[in-house]
Parts: sequence; C-alpha cells; structure tokens
Amino acid sequence: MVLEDQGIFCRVRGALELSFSLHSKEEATIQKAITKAVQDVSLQVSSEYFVFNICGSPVFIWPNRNLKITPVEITPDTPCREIQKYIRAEEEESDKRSSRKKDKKRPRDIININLMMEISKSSLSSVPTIHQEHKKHLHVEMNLPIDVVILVQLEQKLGVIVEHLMREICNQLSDMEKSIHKHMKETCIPIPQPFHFLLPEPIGMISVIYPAGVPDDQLTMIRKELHNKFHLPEDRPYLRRANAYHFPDERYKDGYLRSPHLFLSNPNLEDSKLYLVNGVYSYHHYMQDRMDDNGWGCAYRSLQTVCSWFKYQGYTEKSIPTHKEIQQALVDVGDKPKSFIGSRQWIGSIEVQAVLDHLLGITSKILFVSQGSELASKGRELANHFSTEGTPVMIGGGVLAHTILGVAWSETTGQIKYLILDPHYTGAEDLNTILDKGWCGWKASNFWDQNAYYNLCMPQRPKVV
Amino acid sequence: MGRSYFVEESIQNYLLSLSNNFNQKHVTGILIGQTSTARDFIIQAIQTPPKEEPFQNPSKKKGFHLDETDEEWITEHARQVSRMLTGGLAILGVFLIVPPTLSKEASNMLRRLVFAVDTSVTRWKVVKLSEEEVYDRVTVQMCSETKKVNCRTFDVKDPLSSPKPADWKYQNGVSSTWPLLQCNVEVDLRLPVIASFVEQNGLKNWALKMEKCYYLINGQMRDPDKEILEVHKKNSRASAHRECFSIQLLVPLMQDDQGDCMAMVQECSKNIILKGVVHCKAYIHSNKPTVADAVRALKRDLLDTISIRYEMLFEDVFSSNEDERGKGQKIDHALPQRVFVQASSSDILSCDYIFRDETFIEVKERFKEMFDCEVSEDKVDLLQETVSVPAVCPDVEICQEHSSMVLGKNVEKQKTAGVALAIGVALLALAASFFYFSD
Repeated sequence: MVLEDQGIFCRVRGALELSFSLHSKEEATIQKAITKAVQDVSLQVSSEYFVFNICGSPVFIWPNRNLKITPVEITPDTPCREIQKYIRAEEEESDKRSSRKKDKKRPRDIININLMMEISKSSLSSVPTIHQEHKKHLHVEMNLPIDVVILVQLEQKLGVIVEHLMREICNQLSDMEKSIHKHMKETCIPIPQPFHFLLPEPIGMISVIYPAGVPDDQLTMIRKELHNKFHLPEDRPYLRRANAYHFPDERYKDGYLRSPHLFLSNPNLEDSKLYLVNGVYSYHHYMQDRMDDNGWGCAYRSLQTVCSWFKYQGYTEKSIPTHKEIQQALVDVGDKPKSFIGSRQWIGSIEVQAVLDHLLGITSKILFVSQGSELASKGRELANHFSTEGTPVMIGGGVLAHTILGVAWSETTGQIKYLILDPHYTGAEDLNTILDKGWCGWKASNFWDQNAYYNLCMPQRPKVV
Repeated sequence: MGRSYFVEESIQNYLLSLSNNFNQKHVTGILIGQTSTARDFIIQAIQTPPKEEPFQNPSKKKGFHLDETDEEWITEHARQVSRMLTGGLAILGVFLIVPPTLSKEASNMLRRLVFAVDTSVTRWKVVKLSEEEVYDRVTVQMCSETKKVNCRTFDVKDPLSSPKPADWKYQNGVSSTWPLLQCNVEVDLRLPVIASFVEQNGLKNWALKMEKCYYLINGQMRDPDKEILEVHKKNSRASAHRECFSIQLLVPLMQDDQGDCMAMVQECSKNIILKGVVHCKAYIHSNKPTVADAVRALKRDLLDTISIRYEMLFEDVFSSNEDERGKGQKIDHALPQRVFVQASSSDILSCDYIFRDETFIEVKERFKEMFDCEVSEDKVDLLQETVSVPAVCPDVEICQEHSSMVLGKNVEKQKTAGVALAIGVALLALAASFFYFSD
C-alpha cells in the first residue's frame, strides 16, 4: 500500500489544569463544580495568552491574538510545507530502518505542537494580592491530557490549520467533560485520556476518550457502539487501548524490535501468494531481559512472541510472561511438578497451548506432522490459518522450537516457503544483523529436520471487540 | 591568577571621604555589583549605618574585635540591602577602613564578615536557581592614613579557603552600557493549607516551573549560548547607551508521565491564592553576556520579588488565629508594591516595597539609612506597579504593624536588643557586687 497523498499529521499536546473546590460531597454540587471548572479551562484556551509552539522550532503562534506568529516571516498564509523547514531534524532510528523499506510502507511525517501559556503581560502590572478563605473544603485537581491529531495537506495554510486545531481542542474538551460526568463516582474521578485509532479507509484517524484506570473489559459497550457507528467488523478489536495508532516518532519504551519481517523483501516463488501474520508482535529471543536461557529457552521465547501479538492487538492487557511465570502457569494447571519452576527444562507445543489458555484465555489448535518432510503438504492449512486467524504459529520438533510468521504458497504448484522468526539468536536488538543473518527470514522446506516429528501450536483469535 | 574587580570611579571618592571623616575605630560596609566568569564589577559601596550605642562602653580591651552584635548589625544591613537590589546585582563583598594600628586584626575580621554576610544574604532565597558559577567574594581593606587598598577574595563555599589576591581597578561608567531586561509577569499561585500546615512546596513548585519556562527576547526565540548583544550593534558608536530588552515568558503545559489515573483530592482547611502581575527588572554585565545569563538574572529577580513579598506577609497571613477569624471569612491582603529608585550615580535602579499607606517619604528615609544616599522625588518611580481596586482589607491594623516593623528595618529590633543586653550586663554586675560585698 503506497500512500499517494502528501498529507502529514499535525498533533497538539498539552496538559490543562482542571481544579475546583468542594464544600459538600453531594452529587449535584460536584456536577456543577465540574461544569464551572471546565468553563474556566475553556476561558484559558480562548485566552490571548494561549500559545502553540511547534516542537523543535522557534515558531510560536498565538491563535487568539489574530494569529500573531514569531518569527515574523511566517504568516497565516504560509503553507505547511514551508513551516516544516523550521523544524530541527532529529536523528532517529527509524531513519536507519527506512532505507531498507524503500517506499513500501513509509509512515506519515508528523508535526508536533506543544501547548503553552504566556505569563508575561503587556498591560501594566498590578500589585499581587493574597486571597484567603477560611473554610474547610476539598480541593480537587487534575491535568487534562489534551492530545489532538489532524491530517493536513502540505499546501494548506497555517492559519487554516491552526483554526482547525483549535476547533478540535474545544471538541476534545467537551468530550472529556462528558467522560468525566459519565465515569465519576463521588470524588473518584478518573482522568479522561484520548486515544487515536487509524481505522481502515475511508474512516481514517479517530480519537476516543477512555477513563484512565478502567480496564478495556469494562468498556465493551462503548466499543460496540463505535463499531456500529463506523461499520467495523464485530469480531475483531479495533478500538482497544493497545490498538491505538503508534506514531512514527514515538519510541517503544521496552526496547524490543517490532515486526522485523516488514523490512524483508519478498521471497522468489513462482505463482505464489503471501499469507502473513496480521498485526504487530515483538521479537523475543535468547539472552533477552538479562535471562540466560541459551540452549533451552527457545520455546519459551516463541511463546513470548505469541503473547506479544495478543497484547499489541488488544486481546489482553497482561504483560508478556517471563520464564518463571510460564513455568508457574504450567504448575498451576497441574501439568508440571513444583520442582519445574526455576529449572531449565524444555517445553513443547502442548505446554505452549496450555499456558496460552491459562494465562490469556486463548485456545489453540495443535497440528501434528509425523515427519518434517510432510510439512510441505500443509501449505493450504497454514495459508488458511494466516488468512483467518493471522496469529503467529509456534512450531516445535526435533530439538528446536521456532515461530512461523507466514507462508508463501502456490496453490497451483504446491511450492511453499516459510517466514521464520528464530528465537535462538543471542545478540542485541540490531535490525540489520537480524535480517542479514536470517534470524528473521524466508526458509525453504529443507529448513526442517526431514525425519523428526513436529507439533504446531496455532492460536485462535477470540472473536471479540 | 586572581580575580579582577572593575570598580565604579565614584566609589574611590566615597571610600576616601569615609576615611577622611574618620573618628571611629573602624568603618565597615558592603559592595554591590555583578560577577561573571572572567571578571567582576562593583558599582556601589555602602557603609554600614551607624548603630546607636545606648551605653558607651569605652573599649578597655586591647586591639578590637567585632562583637556579635556588631556582626549581626552588619549582616542584617547586608540582608536588607540585598532585598532591595534588582536582578543581576548582588552583594559581592565587604570593605573595612581601619587605622594602621589595627591592620593586622582587620584581616581576620574581614574574613569572618565576608562569610557571615554571604550566609545572611543567601539564606532567605526560596529556591536557588541553578547554580551560581562564581563563589568568590571580595574583602577590601583600606588604611585610613595611607588610603592604600588591599583587595583579596575568598571562596565562600569553602569555609577553610585561604585568601587570594585580586585586582582592584577604578573605571568610569562601569555599568553604563549594561543591558536591561524587563518583564511584567503574571503570578497565579495556589498555596494549599492542609490541616494547619502551609505546604511549603507550593512556592517551590512554582519556582521550579519558572526555571523551566521558555523565553522570547524582543519577540524572538534566541540561542541561549549566543551573546545577547548582537555583534553589529556592539560595534556601532551609537551603542554607548543602555540597551533594553523586553522578555516574554512562556510556561509549557507539559503532561507529566506520572501515570495518574484519578483526580487528586486534598482536604484543606484554608484556601490561599496569590495572584497579580509583578514588574521584574534585571541588568546584565557587559562582558560578553549570553542570552542564558541574562534570562537567568531576570528569572532570579522574579523569584526574589515574590518570595520577599510573600515573606513580608507570611506571619500575618498564615498565623493560626482561626478562631478569631471565624469560619467562611474571605480576606484579601495586598502584597507590598514594588517601587524603583535610582540610588546611585549611575542610572541602575534599586527597588523597595511599600504598603498602601506609605509614600515617597518613607522610601526616602529607608534609602537614606540603607543606601547612605539622598534620593529626590524624581528619582523614585512609584508607578511601575499599580495598586488594583482596593480589595477589602479588614486587617489594616495588622498591615500597619507589619509595615512599621519593616520600616524599622529591624533598627527597632536592634535597639531593643542593645538595651536588653545593657540591662543584662548591669544585672550581672549587680549580682556580682552583691556576692563580693555580702561576706
């Protein structure tokens, strides 16, 4: 999918303080106080001292002061393309990667804007006063995390863009107010958090406010309504928090590589189609997390990769399990004795299936092949799996475990190649090494031990929203 | 390699005249100016105001030493003056004029004084902005007969530091081209009072926010490490005047990554809000000052002016006389108004704080005492900050009480201290005599 249009994202972020005093805990009082507090925030947003600063640039814009802008060469008629030149380029890892990608799936560029308040006044100063009120009260305070994203064309004028952003900020403020009123219980008020989702065309980017601290499971009604509204399929999640759009300039804090297979070129296989994993996963392998599992942990790592897929697609909020947690799970289901925990014993597909079920509530199908040479005949089944479920497959056999991320299969010739993610890698998270040395790469049928038997664990995607 | 002090020419005459009218055992005073990494500038010298000694005890001791009350007096003067300085200026040292017979003891005294003055001057600051680079302070010893000046510096961060020699050079118009930065800053602070404790963090958090805020110089963002004076302007003949910069401060509305899920709820017994717009001024030396140096001086002025005024009302506002005040009562106090005064031969402005009932007269009196300087009405600017529509101020008496305390600049305090001391001494003498004669 090549992006034909030249649009880029424009994102405004900032924290607006919402605070108010309460002299009673009656609901009506609280509701009124919140409404008034939101009005105060709106006043702040429409104040002439409310300022946009384009990140990494000397450009400051006063949206409510007739679009006063510094530096003075920039005017409301300046097109977005010109503004980009003022932004200091930041070196990012993604630049290194994009050379491999060519123009396959270039992420959109983005302009980030920070909110500011000018505290210097042009009017005469007035002697400060201290205002005291001697009355016991509750003081309630929170920062509203404003986060607004719009798609702009490079030729669009700055003035138009700023007006659009201001409208979106006001809309978001109003949505946040609704969320607060809906989810608060007395003085327990969850902070309304915006999430952005890039939905399939023609919908595009939408933002949804979710109350912080309330787990996805309790917000199913909201998601169902939105799925209805946007005609999204009812059986796969699009709007869970984990599905939120990952902006190209945001770094993953955990340090794992995401979906390295996206940077590979296609295998040469005549008359074939690609059937690949559908969604984001992270690459887990030997020696990560300061865990020396060299020689015995490959199935554990493959299981971690599978769990990561379910987490990033929003099917679970649980963190990716450690070796200990995996072992504990097997003890808990009665599959292994207590002495298993802390040992270096291997696990196989059956154990992987058990852990996925126990920890994440995921069911999996097991596919057995008595000989490695037989795997080539399972092309249709694998293609079907990736088409309908789209989940990574853990395969164990002989003395090794791997993850299958997809197949290139020809329905006519029956020829097949396997996209393999190899957990036996012991090096650092260096994308180039991993791709060049084939730790993530396309393999032919001779990759498998022709005489050993194999079990494949094929996790099933829950049909939920 | 010692430090170099460039000293305003008029100070030479001032010191000479002090040494000529010499009828005491010593004259102490403070030195005001600005430091930079390479050199230091002294623009004003002020003698310690004379203390009224209620009982003249002709000193029977050999030599002389500064007793505690003397030292207290000198450091208190320094503290008061330091609160009347605008941004960029500080007390950089002390001077001492002594007759030749006392020159040996003088150096010890100077050493003690310079450390004591620095402690007294830095202690009241609420938040110390990221770091002063220069900790050297100067001691100047002048002989009342030969008029010779001996100048040495001490590192006041190191109590064991030994003195280093320094250069003392007189120059005309040391500060005449120092750029001036100005800004009117809106302050809107909430100071929560939980149970009966005023959370001190309120002011500290605000100060940290101020330290982080962005700034525009004359409407533009500038590189903090570049010089604030643009090169082409520096070279022109026309720039023999003081350049003024208007500063804009912008606070980024940052999202904290605290991971808070819920609104914060605090039980408070009082609601205290400090609100207004203050005028800030700062001067920066002319020795290649960077944008960052200049803005730091202005931000310091902002923090100082708020913490000074806050302190001036602190005891009154936060005293725990809740029963007297009654529940639900709303009270507004006006903080003292900042006025600017030209109290030296250069047009560098100092400042003062006046309460509603005070006028130019009070300012003039204060400057006579604190700055040893006659100030005429046209040199006092009472209009930089306007007093807003008078809010209800039922505690006017308290305000006045405070104002007289401040007016007294602790002179009252010192007077009573002196009397108390004298009485104490007399009692002791009485008791002693009783002992001796009872046998």
